[in-house]
Amino acid sequence: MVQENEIITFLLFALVVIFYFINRQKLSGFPGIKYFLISIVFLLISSILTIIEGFFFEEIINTAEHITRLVSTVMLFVWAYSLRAKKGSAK
Amino acid sequence: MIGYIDFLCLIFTVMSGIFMVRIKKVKLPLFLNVTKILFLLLFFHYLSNSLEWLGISDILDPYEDFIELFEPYFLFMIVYLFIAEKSGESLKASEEKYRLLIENQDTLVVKIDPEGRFIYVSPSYCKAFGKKEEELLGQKFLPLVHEEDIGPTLMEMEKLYSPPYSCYIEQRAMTVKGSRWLGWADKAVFDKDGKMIEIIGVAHDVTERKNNDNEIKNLKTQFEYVLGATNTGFDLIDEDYNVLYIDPMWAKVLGDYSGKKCYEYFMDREEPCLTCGIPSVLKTGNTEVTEEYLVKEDRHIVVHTILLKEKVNGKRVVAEFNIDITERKKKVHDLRQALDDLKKSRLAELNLIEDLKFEINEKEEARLEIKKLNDTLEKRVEERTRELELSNRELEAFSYSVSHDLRAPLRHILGFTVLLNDAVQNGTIQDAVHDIEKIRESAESMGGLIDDLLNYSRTGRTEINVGTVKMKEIVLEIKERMMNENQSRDIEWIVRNMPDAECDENLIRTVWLNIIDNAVKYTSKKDKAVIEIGFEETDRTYGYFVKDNGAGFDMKYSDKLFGVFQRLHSKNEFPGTGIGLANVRRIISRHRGTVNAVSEGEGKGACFYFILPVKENIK
Repeated sequence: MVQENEIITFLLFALVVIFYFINRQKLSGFPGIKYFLISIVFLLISSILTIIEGFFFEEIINTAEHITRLVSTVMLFVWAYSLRAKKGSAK
Repeated sequence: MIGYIDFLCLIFTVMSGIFMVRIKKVKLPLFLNVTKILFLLLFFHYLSNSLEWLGISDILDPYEDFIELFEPYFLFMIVYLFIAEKSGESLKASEEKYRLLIENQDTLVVKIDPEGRFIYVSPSYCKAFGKKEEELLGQKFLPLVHEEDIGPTLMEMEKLYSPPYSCYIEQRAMTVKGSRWLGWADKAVFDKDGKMIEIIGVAHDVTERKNNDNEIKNLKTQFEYVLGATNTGFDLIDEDYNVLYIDPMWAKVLGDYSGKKCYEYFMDREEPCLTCGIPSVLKTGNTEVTEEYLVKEDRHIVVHTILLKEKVNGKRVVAEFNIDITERKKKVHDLRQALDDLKKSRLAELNLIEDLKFEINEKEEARLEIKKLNDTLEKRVEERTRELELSNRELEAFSYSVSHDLRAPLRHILGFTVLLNDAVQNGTIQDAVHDIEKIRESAESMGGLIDDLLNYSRTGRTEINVGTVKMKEIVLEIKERMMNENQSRDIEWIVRNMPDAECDENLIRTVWLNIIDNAVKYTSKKDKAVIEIGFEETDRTYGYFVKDNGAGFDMKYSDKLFGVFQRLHSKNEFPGTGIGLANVRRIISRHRGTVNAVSEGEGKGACFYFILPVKENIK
């Protein structure tokens, strides 16, 4: 079954990624944008996997969904850490 | 498995959130805030998953629907805000700039009533003077003005009462930053009745500009002072030779020629000078140094022409530094003149010195010549003295000899005259004849003596004619003559070769005749006479000699051999008057020669030789 909120979540993450690629030159100077983008992409993959898990290989895809979310949170952590490190060096 | 993963997600999310919370200020705060919301969402999401996995999900059950409902809404908000953040970035930036401009702008705005009381002050004005608005409103503005600027300010503000009803005043005021220059642009506002109701003043801090102006003014003053002190003029000329600027000191010297063309002003020309450095400077951009003569001013100047980087009115401009070298030129000219005079004077001195040297040399030469002549004269005097002494001695000897020898025949004549007188008185004819004969013989003898004396005297007076004389020919001639006169005698003649001599031939013939005749006479008592005639030469003399094996003489009487009437043998032994050798010595002396005689003793022969000085070295 496809839930409405899953579709909206997917679309929103897709919009974020598209927005990034449209504005990647402007955002190139954003601190640690690479890690942040990877995190969002993995969230996008996760949302895709959330949608398709209701059709086949539910367990495997569900596991993959959660793994991608884990990767995404790790990347967020790395991004947050890199921001802290840059701020420290700026001081 | 999934529970572990979600739990790890929760842990990483919480840690990331902690980091983000600790980061309070970054470049894009709105974006970060959005991210924090994301974290919150994820936090709730993973928290619910983890609680579910831990079996205590019931706690969130009341909120599960809320979370599920608002999770996409939150995500939408995130994206919206993210996009809004980026699209509104420039607008916010301009807003920030505007805010900063408002907060930091230094334009001061005030309104004052006609009495000069504040009716409005801008925040910037309050900030500048460190006062609150309440403190200023209703107060007069003049106390805030520097006391020296109050007068000019009031005077300038009088313009507000006449068109265009505005004025500009620069005045000093004591602000929180200290004394600052404020440039006020004032405008009067009138009501419909034409009555002034307020004055709006807008001011800017012009302290920096004033300082710069003062600095420029000081620099200009110093620049002009340096130019004046170094006798250097400065002007600016554009590419069309129009003089744009001339410094005041230079203008005092040459007149103000700004606005004119330099070649017209200085040279009375209608086109640029041929020696002008400006075309070259405009073409190459390099600095040119030229020397020019200003006809009109009668001045020499050295011009350093430099191309300026900035154009004026679209035209290139050169700066000229003009150094007046007229005085220097004049001094150089005077120095050269003085140097030339000095050179001429020096040359004259050198010529004078040379003349003096020449004169001194001439005098020295003359002195040496005089000394030489004196020496010669002394020698000649000595010589003459010696000759005179010799002549005196000869004269004494001659007088004695003459008186002695002439007295003898006279005594004979006198004696026989007495005897003749007796014989005549006694009548003895034979005795008388005998006495007369003796008187006659004595008279003849006396006559012979007198003849010889006359010859001797002539020898001394005869002029000497020097020439080359072939001596051997003369000797051979006399030898022949002697052989003819003495044919009965046995004489061995030895005549050796001899050179010619420079002398008087007649006189030297007399010398040879006397010496050879003596040799023949004094060998008459020898059975076999040997007469040798020869020559011995030295570096300076010719030495001719006649050697015989005749009677000889005692050398202690040799000095009497050449005296007049001096004889070492009696007349009976060897006849003669004793004047021959005297003649020989006189002739040789007149040739500046010497004559001498040597003998080993009586009966051992004699050798007569005479020496003539060499005129030429004849070999």
